[in-house]
Amino acid sequence: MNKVMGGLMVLFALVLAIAPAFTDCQSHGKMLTTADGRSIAMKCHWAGIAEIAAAVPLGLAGIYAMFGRRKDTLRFAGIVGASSALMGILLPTILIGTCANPSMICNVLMRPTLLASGILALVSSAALIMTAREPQFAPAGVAA
Amino acid sequence: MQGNTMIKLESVTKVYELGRGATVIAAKDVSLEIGAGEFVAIVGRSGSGKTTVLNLAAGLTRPTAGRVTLDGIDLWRLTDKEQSRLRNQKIGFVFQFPSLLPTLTVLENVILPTTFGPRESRAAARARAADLLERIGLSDKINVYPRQLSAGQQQRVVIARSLINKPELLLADEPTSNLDEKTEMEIVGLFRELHATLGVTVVLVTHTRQLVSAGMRAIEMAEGRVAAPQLAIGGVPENGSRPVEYAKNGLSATVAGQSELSY
Amino acid sequence: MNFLQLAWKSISGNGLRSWVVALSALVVAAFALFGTLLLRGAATSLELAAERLGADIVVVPDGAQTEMEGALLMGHPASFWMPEENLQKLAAVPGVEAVSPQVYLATLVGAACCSASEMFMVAYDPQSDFTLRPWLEKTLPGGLAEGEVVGGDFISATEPNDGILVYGTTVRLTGNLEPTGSGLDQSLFFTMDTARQLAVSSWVNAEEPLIIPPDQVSAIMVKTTPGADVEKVAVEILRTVPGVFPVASADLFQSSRAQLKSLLNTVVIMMALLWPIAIALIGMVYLMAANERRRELGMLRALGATKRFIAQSLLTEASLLALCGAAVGIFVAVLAIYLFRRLIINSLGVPFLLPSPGSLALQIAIGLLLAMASVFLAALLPAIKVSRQDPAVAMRE
Ligand SMILES: Nc1ncnc2c1ncn2[C@@H]1O[C@H](COP(=O)(O)OP(=O)(O)OP(=O)(O)O)[C@@H](O)[C@H]1O
Ligand SMILES: [Mg+2]
Repeated sequence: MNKVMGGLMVLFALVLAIAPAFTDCQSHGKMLTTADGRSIAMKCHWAGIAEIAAAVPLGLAGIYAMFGRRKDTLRFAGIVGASSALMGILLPTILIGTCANPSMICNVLMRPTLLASGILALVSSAALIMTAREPQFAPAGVAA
Repeated sequence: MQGNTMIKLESVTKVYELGRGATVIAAKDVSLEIGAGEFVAIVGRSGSGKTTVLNLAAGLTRPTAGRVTLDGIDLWRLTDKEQSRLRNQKIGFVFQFPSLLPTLTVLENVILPTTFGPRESRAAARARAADLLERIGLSDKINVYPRQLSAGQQQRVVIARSLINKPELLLADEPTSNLDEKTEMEIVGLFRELHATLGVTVVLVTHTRQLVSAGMRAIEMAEGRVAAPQLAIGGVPENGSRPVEYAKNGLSATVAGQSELSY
Repeated sequence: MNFLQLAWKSISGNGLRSWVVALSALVVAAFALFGTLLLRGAATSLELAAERLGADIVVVPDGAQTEMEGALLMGHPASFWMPEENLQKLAAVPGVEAVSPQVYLATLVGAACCSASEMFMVAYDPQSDFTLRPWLEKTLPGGLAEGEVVGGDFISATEPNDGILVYGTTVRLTGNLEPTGSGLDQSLFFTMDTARQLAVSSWVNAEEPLIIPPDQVSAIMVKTTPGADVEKVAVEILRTVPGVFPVASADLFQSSRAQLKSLLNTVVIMMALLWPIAIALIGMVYLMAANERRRELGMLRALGATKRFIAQSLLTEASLLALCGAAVGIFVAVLAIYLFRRLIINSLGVPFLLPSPGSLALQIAIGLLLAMASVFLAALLPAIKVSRQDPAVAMRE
């Protein structure tokens, strides 16, 4: 279980880190033109860059989950993974956000990809935490 | 209960189909009676039909011919449900092969048979299992998985499992086949003690003749037939096969540190 | 311990087999749900768009039907014209009860990024209108004054005071309509007077003027008299009014419906391939598993399990796996549809509206049931076969 979940976490981390480079507005040649005629990147681009900061700990946690054996290592990996996945979800939605126009590429492709990977990574991390619980086996009637 | 017949096989023949018309006669016209409260050993070479006789006695396979009765009940007149219930409540099994479920803990393995029995509280079953495990000296291994136990410890768990429903009959098929000599003696000692203290009928299949001790009734099987229904230990078998060796110290062996056993 | 627990223990103890079965259930459920959600969503959206249009027949210039549908469904900017006098001609056709003109305009293409989105603008005639009024009134009982607009679901104001800058003039957004999933969601509705005013001021304020040709309209909505045969009226229009093409509402969005139909066929074919493969795969896994576990199952029989129990616990195991796999599959499918709906709309060329929570729940339930039924079916034969075998034989393996 932990191998599969860890693998998924690494996979989603890769998606989080790489997808923005191909799906933000800048990658499709759209830049914001300021009043004095300079081109600057739009915020979807920065949200995409910031995703790398969420993807790195997520990927590392995934690798730990794949090769870790001790329950508390796995649990720790799960917690790190879940919080970075949450970060990955919050960056393009609340913390930085994407462009205002809902029909732009960053909203059509980048945001959903990031959200889907983030949510699935969150679920994988949660599953990892669940499976790494301490066995709470207290047989009734044996205590006496 | 002493004096009643526990197992009765009347001219029972079992033929297994091997496919393409080939057949094996695993039991040929076997007739035998084992009384309630007896301790009987079944000996014989590999392939002589010992396991087949146990399976027949428990209704695990339908005889090709003949009649099998258990405690006066004709096994093959029962429905599957009644038969299963009877096995569950009356018979304790110790198998020839490793039979603990690897996915269950020791305690869960021991209470496994209660899953198939009449409803009872989880706590009651667990308490009984814990009690049995304590009596066989494994109370510290309750939440451990079978793979973490030695072969001898595993076999003792199997014995505890066979006793969980307080059976009247214990069928043990070579329970010591993959154990070292000392552990072997301990396990047989445990069976003898169970027999002595609980009054269960015990049928013990073995091909280690050292395990058959003086004064114990032994049935010898050969090529699917009963070669000697009442092998006199120390005597010469009627059909002239190899003489049975004496048990050397089978009687005195008991599980270290274990005292009385009772349900 | 009950047999549900026993089944669960067996599942978690047999990794690979469980993963294969759960994954098969996942794929079947995900695919089934994705397909049905997509089809249902597209169909609902089409119906809703047709209903919102509210006319029995839409008359457009001959050759503009596709453009009109693209505008209404996908929000592609369109501009086509026909003489206003067609109104009188159409009103004279027998079976026609009411007619009302509409003018379609498009905002500047390639507007600055991250500002207001591309919009499709519909100007209507408040005097004769019968199509927009019913649902405009829900949002706006008083009707629209000059300089006021109502937007589709996606339209939002960017300037202060609910203002939207259109061709250099700021109009006031007075309300939004419920989503349809079609191009109507990015449409802006206003009166003909507002349109003309915009056109006039655009010469001064806009980078590019808005041109509304005089005495021209884009489309004419036709309402037939009650009881009239809509198809016959359409044929009559085609015969008597030159240069126009009448589209009966039942025939509206023909190309999208065709697209939907081929989509449906694809889904059906894929399911027809996928489903038996999944069932066969699961059946095989179960047969293998059951054979692998013959000794264990024979032993359980010796310990007092009935044949029924054996079959039941195998089926329970299968169903539990199916449930888990299907639940994950459905989650993934719903997530994908929800997040990627815009991409899907754009790439498939069909409108799409996420179904209501009730209908979503129903489809999820159907998906779960389907996956569980498949796995159950696949595991049924092996389960029965194994439960029937002679325990003595089974234990000899
Ligand atoms: N299910 C079966 N199918 C075919 N042949 C069988 C089957 N069960 C038993 N036999 C055959 O019947 C004969 C008796 O088998 P059985 O298992 O009763 O012997 P056994 O005395 O228990 O041997 P062992 O000491 O090796 O366990 C053997 O020749 C065996 O090959
Ligand atoms: Mg045998």
